[in-house]
Amino acid sequence: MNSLRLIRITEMICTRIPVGALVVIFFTVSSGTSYAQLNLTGNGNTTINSALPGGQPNDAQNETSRLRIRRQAGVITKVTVATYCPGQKFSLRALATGNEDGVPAPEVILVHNAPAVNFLVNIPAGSAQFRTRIRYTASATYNQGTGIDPHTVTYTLVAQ
Amino acid sequence: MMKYLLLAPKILGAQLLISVSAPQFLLAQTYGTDSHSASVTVSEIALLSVNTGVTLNVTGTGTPAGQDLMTATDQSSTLWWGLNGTSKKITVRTNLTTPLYSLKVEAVSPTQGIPASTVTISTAAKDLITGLGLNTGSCTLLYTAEVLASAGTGTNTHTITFTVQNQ
Repeated sequence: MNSLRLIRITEMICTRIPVGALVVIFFTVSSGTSYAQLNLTGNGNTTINSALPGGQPNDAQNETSRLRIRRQAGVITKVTVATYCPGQKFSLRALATGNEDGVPAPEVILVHNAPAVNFLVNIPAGSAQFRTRIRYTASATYNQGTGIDPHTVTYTLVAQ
Repeated sequence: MMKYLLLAPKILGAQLLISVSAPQFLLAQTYGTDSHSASVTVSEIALLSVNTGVTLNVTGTGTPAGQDLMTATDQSSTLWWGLNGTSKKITVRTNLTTPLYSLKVEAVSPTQGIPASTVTISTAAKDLITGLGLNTGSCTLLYTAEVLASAGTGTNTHTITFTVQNQ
């Protein structure tokens, strides 16, 4: 009985809706950067290849990466950073520089699989975007030898 | 850190109190994340440094009468190295093809590696210190000029080159 009643109701609806009144609505969701809450450009590759007499190899720096961050409505946020680099040999540090908003945390030492640590804090609530540069500094000692540490560095925007 | 207290059912007559702690960062609302690469490449570095020029004046002072060989020594120079490669050695040579007098050098008290015995410097590279690598070190350079009185007077000007090589 219930099945028959449902079929009749469906038939009634279908017959009573004019064809011209049908509206098809398409929802398009884009993953374009304009919607990103946090966006990275550039890489942080560094090469250590020099030294001065009496000291260890010179540090190498790369400050070409940019981080674009969107403020969050009603929430003070911060950016944390973590790295994945199995077999890490050399030291890599990161520092927010030239930031347009928020407060840079002290320079962060990136250690493979360590918990995420603060990179940029006290980002005010709002909706505007702003940018900061990332300064990577790599260090090595003679007794660490030569080689390559390939890091995948992850930045995350979270509530503070 | 936030803590939650859960009261579990009685198990075998004993009430179990469980305390669960969760790091704050696991609880924070995440709004966005992004990753990129940041490699650290360390190339091979072999740095050598030697300080000051050396002048040896052979005057014959103190040489016994009738002895042809006269000498002069200097150990005011320090050789410093920094190597992040393994199994290295330092060699020494001069650019002077036909020296009138003999010039020798010895690595004194190197902080790393095995010093060769006294080396007579020639245009062919000769081992000065072996067994080096993955460290910094230094030694004093002891130069000895040997002059035969019969060779007469004159001046030899050397450009001494120290080189890091694979063993």
